[in-house]
Amino acid sequence: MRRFLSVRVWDLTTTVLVVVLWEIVADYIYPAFNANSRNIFPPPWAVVQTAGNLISNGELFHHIGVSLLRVVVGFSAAALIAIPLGLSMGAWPGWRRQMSVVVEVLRPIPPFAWIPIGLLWFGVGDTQSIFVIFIASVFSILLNTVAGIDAVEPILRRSALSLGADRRKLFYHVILPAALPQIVVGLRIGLAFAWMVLVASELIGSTSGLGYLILDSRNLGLPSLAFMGMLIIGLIGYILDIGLRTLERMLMPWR
Amino acid sequence: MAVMSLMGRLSAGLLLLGILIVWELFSRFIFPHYEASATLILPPPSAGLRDALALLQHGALTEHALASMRRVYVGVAAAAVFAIPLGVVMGLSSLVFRQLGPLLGILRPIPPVAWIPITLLWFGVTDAQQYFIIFIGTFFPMLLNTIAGVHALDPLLQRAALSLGADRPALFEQMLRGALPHICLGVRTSLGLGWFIIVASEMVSASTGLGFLITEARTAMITERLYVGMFAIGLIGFLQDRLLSRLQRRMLPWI
Amino acid sequence: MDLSGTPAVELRNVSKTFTSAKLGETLLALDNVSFSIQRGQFFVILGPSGSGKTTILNLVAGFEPPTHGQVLAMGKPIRGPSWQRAVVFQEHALFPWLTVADNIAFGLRMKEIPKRTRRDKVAEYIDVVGLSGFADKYPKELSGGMKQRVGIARALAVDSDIVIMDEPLGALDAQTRAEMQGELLRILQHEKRKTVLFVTHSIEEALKLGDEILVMSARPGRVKQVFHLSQARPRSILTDPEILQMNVELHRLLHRDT
Ligand SMILES: Nc1ncnc2c1ncn2[C@@H]1O[C@H](COP(=O)(O)OP(=O)(O)O)[C@@H](O)[C@H]1O
Ligand SMILES: [Mg+2]
Repeated sequence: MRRFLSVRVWDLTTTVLVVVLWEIVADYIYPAFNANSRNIFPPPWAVVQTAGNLISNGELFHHIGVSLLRVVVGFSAAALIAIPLGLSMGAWPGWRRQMSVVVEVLRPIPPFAWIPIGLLWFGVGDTQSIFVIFIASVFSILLNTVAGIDAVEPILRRSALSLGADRRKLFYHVILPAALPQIVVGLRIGLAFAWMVLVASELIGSTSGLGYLILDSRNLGLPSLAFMGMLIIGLIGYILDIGLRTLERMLMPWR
Repeated sequence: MAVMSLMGRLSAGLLLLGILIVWELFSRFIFPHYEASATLILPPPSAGLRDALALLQHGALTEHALASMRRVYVGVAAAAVFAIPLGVVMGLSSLVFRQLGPLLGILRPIPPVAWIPITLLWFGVTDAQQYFIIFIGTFFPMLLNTIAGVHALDPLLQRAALSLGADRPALFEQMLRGALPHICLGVRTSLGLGWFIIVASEMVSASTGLGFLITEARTAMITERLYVGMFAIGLIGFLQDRLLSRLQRRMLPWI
Repeated sequence: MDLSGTPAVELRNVSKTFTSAKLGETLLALDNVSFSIQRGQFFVILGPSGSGKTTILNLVAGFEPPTHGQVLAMGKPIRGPSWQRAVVFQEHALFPWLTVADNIAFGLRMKEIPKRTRRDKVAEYIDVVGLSGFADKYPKELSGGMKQRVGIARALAVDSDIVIMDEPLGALDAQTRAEMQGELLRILQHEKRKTVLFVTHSIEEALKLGDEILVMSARPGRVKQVFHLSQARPRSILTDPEILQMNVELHRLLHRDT
C-alpha cells in the first residue's frame, strides 16, 4: 500500500483549499446563521491560537507526558509478557492448546469493555489506564508472535538442523529472526490499539492526560481545544508508529 | 488456532469448565477470607449466570444488545457507502489519490474515540453522535482496503476491459468486483472495529446499549452484570465474525 | 487479396520515446516505423525481446499515443482503446471474478447486445475454442492453454475489425504451444477474413501463421525487413523450399544483432 504522507507540494492543493474554506466558513458564513457558532465550529486559526496558549503555559506537555508514560508502561508490560508467552506457545503445542482456550475466550471482548473492570479494581488514575492499555495490546502481540512462529518454513528448520544447529541455536538463529517480522506487525497493531484505548480510558476515568484534555474542552466550552487535542493525539499516534517502523528497519535490515 | 479436532474441542471444553469451577470455589470460599469486598470485586460465575437470566427474562439484555448492533450496522453501512466508491476512484486515479492523500493522512491517525467530545458538542447525546463515531472509525479501514484492492489488480485488466469496449462506469464496476476480496476484508475488519468502538462510545455518552449497561453496572456496583455485559459483547462480536467469514466464502467463489 | 481498400492498420513514421522518472533518461523504443496491414491479413511482427513489439501493439490498441508520427486504423487516427481492436494478452488478463462464459460475454455486454443473442454467441465461441463443459468455471480452475482459449474467444466474440495478439502462446509449454498454433488456424477459419496483428519472437510460429512477417531490430526498434508468404495453411515449414529459404534468412537476420 502506498503511504498517504509522501507528498509533493502540488498534492497539497486540495488540503490547503479545504483549510482556507473552513476558515472562511467558520469566520464569516456560519456565524451569520448561528450566533453560537464559535462554541461549536472553531476556525483553524483559533485552533492554532489555543495550541500556542497551552504550549506557552506548559499544560500541553504535562498532559502529553502523562499519556505517554501510561502507554509506555502498559505497552511495554504487554510486550514483555506476550512475546515470551507467544514464543513458548509456538514451541510447545501442548502448552499452546491449553493457552489457546483462554485466549480465544478473552480475545473477542473489546479492550474498551475492560475499562469499567479496571476502574472497579484500581479506581480512577494511572493504574486503570495502564491496565486497559496492557489488555488492549497484549492479544495482538501474542497472536502475531504465535503466527510468526507458525509461518517459519519447515525447510529453514531442516536446513539449519542439517548444518549442525542444535535446538537452542535453531531457536535463536533461525526461528526468532524468521518470526520477527510478524512479531513487529503485532507490536504495531498493539501500539495502535493501546493509543486508542488510552484516549478512551482517559475520557472515562482520569483527571489528566490528552483524553481528559479533550473531554475538558467540552466542559470549558472550547471546541478549538478539542480539535487541537485530536490533532495532537493523531500526530503522536502517527509518530509512535513511525518509531516502531524505524525499529523494524533497524532490527531487520534484510527486509 | 483455527481448526480444532473433536478431541481438541472436548479437552478445551473441559479446561474451560475447570477454570469456571475453580473460579466459583475461589470466589465463594477462599477470596472472602482475605478481602471484605470480595463479591464486589470478583463475584462467582453463578451470580453472573443468575443475573444474565434475569436480564434476559425482562428483555433488557436483548434491548441493549439490539441498540448497540443498530448503531454499529448503521454507522458501518454509512461509512461503506462513502469509503468503498471513493476507494475505487482513489485506486484508479493517481490524481485523486495524491490530492486527497494528505487530508486523509491527517485525519486517519486520530483515534475514533477522540472524536467523542467534539461530536457531543455537535450532536449532543443522540444516536446521530454514535453513528458519527462509528462512521469515522470504520471509514479508513474500508477506504484503505478498497484502495489496496484496486492497486492489487493486474493493470492489464484495465486495458483488457477498455479494449473490449468498456466505458468509465463499466470499468468502475469491474474494478469494484475485482477489489471485492480486499473490500470484504475491510468490511469485516470494520465491523469488528465498530463493535469495539461502540462500547467505548456508549460508555461515555448513551443511555442504552451494552457499553452503557456495563458502565451502569459499575456505578451501581452490580459487578456480575459487568461480566455479563462483557461476555455478551464478546459473544456477539465472535458470532458476527463467524457469520461474516461464511458469507465471504459464498460471495467470492472465484478466489 | 484485396489491396485496393484502405489498410486495416497503418503506421506512418512512428517513433516512441519513454522517459524514465529517475534522472529523466529517455529511451527510444521505436524509431521511424512505417508499415501497413491489409484487411483480412494475418500480420506477424517478429523480433527479439526489447525490440518494441509490445510498444507497437499498445499504440495500435490505443493504450498509448505515439511520440511522433501517425497510427491509423481503417484510415482514421486512433484516439484510444476500442472494441474494434480487441486484444489477446500474453498473460491472458482474464477477469478472475467472471466465469468462462461471462469473460467471453464481456465485450458483448459492453456493446449492449441483447441477452439472448449474447447467450448464443457465447455458446458458439465456447464451442469454437473447444471449451464445452467449462462455461461455468472460473479462470483459476483452468490450465494455461485453456485460459488462452478463453482469451482468444473473448477477443473474437466482440466481432472486431482487428484482433491484436501479443505473444498469445508465449506463456505456454512447448507441446501446448504447438497444439494451440494449429487450433488458432482452425479457430480463425471460423472468422471471415479477420485482420490479425500477431506478435511473436518464434521464427517457426511466424512461418506457420503469417501472411506477412515484419522483422524488427532491437534498440532502437526499427523495421528491418518484410517477408510475404502466400502458401496455404496449415503449412509444412520443413518441406516447402521457399519457406525453408525464408527460415534461413530470418535466422540470419535475427541472430546477427542479438
Ligand atoms: N512503459 C515503459 N516505460 C519505459 N520503458 C518502456 C516502457 N515500455 C517499454 N519500454 C522499453 O521499450 C523497449 C521496447 O519494449 P517492448 O515494446 O516491451 O519490447 P518487446 O515487446 O519487443 O519485448 C524496451 O527497452 C523497454 O524496456
Ligand atoms: Mg513484449
